[in-house]
Amino acid sequence: MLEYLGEFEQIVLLAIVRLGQSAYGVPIRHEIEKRTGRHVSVGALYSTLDRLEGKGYVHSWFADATPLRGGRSKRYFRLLPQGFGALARSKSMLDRMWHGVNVKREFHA
Amino acid sequence: MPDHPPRVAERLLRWIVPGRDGDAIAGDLRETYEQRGGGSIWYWMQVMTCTQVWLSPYRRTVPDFRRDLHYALRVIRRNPGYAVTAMLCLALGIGVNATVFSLFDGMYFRMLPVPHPDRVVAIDRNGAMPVFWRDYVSLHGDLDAFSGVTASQARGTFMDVERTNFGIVAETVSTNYAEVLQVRPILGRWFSPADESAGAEPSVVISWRIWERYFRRDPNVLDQYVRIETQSYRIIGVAPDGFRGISPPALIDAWLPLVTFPIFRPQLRDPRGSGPPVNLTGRLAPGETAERAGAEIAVADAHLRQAYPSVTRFAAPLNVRIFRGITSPESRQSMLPISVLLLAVVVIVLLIACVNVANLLLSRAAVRQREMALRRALGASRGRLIRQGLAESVILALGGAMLGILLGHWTDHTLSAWLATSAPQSGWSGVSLEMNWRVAAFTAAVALICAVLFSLAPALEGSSTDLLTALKIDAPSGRGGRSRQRDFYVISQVALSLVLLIAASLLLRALQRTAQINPGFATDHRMYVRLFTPEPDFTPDSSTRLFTGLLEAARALPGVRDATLSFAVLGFMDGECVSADRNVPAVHASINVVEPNYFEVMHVPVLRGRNFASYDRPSSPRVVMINETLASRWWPGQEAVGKVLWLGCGDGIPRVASTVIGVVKDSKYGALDEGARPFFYVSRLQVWWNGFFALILHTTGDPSGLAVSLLKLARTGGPNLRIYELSTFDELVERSLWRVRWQASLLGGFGLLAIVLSVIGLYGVVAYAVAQRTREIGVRVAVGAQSIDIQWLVLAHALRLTTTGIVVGLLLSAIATRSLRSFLYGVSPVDPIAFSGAALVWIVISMLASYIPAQRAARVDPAISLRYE
Repeated sequence: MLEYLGEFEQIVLLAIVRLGQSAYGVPIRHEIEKRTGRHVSVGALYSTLDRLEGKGYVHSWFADATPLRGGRSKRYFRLLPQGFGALARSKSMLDRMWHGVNVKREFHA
Repeated sequence: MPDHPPRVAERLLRWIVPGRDGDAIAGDLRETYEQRGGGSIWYWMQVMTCTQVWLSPYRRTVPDFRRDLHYALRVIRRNPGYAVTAMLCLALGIGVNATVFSLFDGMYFRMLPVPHPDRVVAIDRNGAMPVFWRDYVSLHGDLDAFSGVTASQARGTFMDVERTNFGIVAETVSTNYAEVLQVRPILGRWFSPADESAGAEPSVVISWRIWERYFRRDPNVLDQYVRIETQSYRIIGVAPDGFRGISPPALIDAWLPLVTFPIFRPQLRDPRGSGPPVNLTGRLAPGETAERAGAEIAVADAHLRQAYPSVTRFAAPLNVRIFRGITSPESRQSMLPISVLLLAVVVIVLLIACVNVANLLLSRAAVRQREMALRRALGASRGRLIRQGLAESVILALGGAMLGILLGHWTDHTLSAWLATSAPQSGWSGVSLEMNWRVAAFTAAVALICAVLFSLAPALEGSSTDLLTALKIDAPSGRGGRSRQRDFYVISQVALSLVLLIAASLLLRALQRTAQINPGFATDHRMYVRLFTPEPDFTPDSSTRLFTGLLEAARALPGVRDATLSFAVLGFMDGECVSADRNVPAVHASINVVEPNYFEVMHVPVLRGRNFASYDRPSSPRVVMINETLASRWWPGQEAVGKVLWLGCGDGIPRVASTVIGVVKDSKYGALDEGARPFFYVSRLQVWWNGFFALILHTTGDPSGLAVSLLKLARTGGPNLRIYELSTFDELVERSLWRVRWQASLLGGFGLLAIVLSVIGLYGVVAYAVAQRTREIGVRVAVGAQSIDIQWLVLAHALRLTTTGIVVGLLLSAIATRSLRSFLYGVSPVDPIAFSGAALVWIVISMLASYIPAQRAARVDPAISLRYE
């Protein structure tokens, strides 16, 4: 049974895609906040990332301890094929729903 | 600009999300923190959001509480001594807190033991003015928000079962009482409207306690009769165990329909009268809220005010609130000061106990420093160690809490029993302390807070130990900063327990002073028995004749010098309205009805004018005698003798003019530590009051030896003469001191507890210091110190700590005891004797506490101590 992604899950996955090789916690948050203007708490982000990993859409590993982080590793993320598939499914589903709908026109009608 | 995020928040984060995941998040937050340039609040909020990670079913790591717990249990099993001491200290501190909390629970939170108690509401004017039976009758009919409203009045009275007679508190109620409260009888039935009708036989429902105690749980108790005051009642039902009425803190033993109670009959018959005062209690209809009910009541109240403007004009509006705890504001008011005092005291005891445990944990941490360093070296994170320390503290705290609940249970029982016997006349006699889930939850919360508090102690020392130093074989453990923290703890313990000790001493001095107060009448060689001639067994004439006969016979008893009669005794009196002018509103004054020779027998000096005489009869002009306070209040600077006093409240009943014939010296009427009270006397030969008299004997020898003869004499009055308590006046005065004595005892008890706990703490610190300085002591002995010098070393340390604690404690006490002023009759809150006495006691205690460690220190063999370790 294929599951559908929630809105925030999509946003997080897209952020990871956009960041390519350097997707760990801080840039992911930064990217989302920069592009959507939406404040993301670290708890919401990581619980979503854990959930995406649990469903098999992303994969994470530890690397790159730096003194800036008090000697702690970063946890990097990248999408797995199922993750790409889920994103594509969500996009096409939304496209189909959006097709022909002009929100501005309906709103001012 | 801070360069490190808040440490505590970071540790909390690592506790919520353990392992490398938590590390990564902490690293992210640190990076962002530095980019932002700070912001502790932001950091804390982010840490809080990480609970989502912990709650998520997809989380990757679970904090392994089980392992921490196993480890903590193992540690405790290996060293049961410190764990047992910690748990016992905690049990003491937590147990007494649970008991005092259950006092507050009973005052403010406890609901009635009926089905759906959160739907039962009290309807009143917040104590400003009572609600009357007439109001109940017009109100209770059409109220939609309620499924029923009932009226009740609790009164102290006496019950006769067969030949036994005893005091009880009864509730006179409307017949829908049981319906509204939904309380079921365990035998028989409750009331029905028929029990209120004109020709109905008076019926009563008795409490389970009465059924058990006086009927021995006889299943055939129904249809038997008991007598309450002047009337017989048929028992129609027995209330369930645990239901004691709805007038806390009084414990009700009998319920009867209000309209059948003889005292109320004249009030109820008067069509313009408002009837007796009652408490209204209602049950909300299903789906209704208290607010809607309140609105409906306000409308009904408005109608009442229109109907009876003169009475309700100044009354506060009726309001509705859920029935919780003690609803009578006067009762709450009177119980509040002592309850708050108790609360302060037990919190102090708890603090002292926690400090003991913190000290214990500190000394354990010192000992285990090497173990901790080893674990760190092997890779355990700091957070891990802290979590595990917390697990140990939680186990100790929960163990202490469970013991504390048991102890609290026992204290509850003891305190309730003690209150009932030592304070029978007060509202406290009905206070029932019980362990319920609220108290248990409170106890658990207190325990957890304590656990967190005292696990801070070792944590504050920092788990950032230099691994290398700690792993060294002969590491100096527990010097410098650590012992300073322990010293601070002990000083605070001494200070706090000194505060309690001083408070207890002050209360004791107040007790002393109060006991020395001259009551204004003679108490030696005097005893009395309380007698009552109820209607319809007696008429005023037959009663007067009976008492006169008893008086004569009493005087003739061997060993009796004289006898007299008095309605009032210390702590019991009646009131009447008086005014100097018939047109002026009357004020309340207290009254006694006495035999003319009362003042002579009780040695109350008649200062001016004359005494009552045998020719002051009902047909002669009315006369009164007044006390100095009444004289100086009504006729300041003038001669009161010859003035006219109008007796009576004036509403419908004409006032009676009485001439003041004499002024007597003030005495104490209600309590020994009361202020001046206006008081007047009337002669029993002139005025019939109610046939409720104390027959007082003035004996030549020990009064208690005449108890039997007095009782025998009283019984000659016939089976209808009610005989109540019998006591000597000395005992009576003793009993009146119950409140002061009780306060002093409680505080003394807690003070003792606090001292015991603090001594344990002091001993611990001194013994520990000795153990730490073993090598130093060895060196001293080796270079020639005598055993006296060594003992002095130890003693000086203890004295230094104690003296600092005493100084701090004295300062704290000077501030704190000011709030005790209302409890301290005749004693200054900074009474020097109490203060210096307490300080001295502590100095002696500290010398005793350091005795054993000093001895041990003196026996140190330098040859052994100077070896390594």
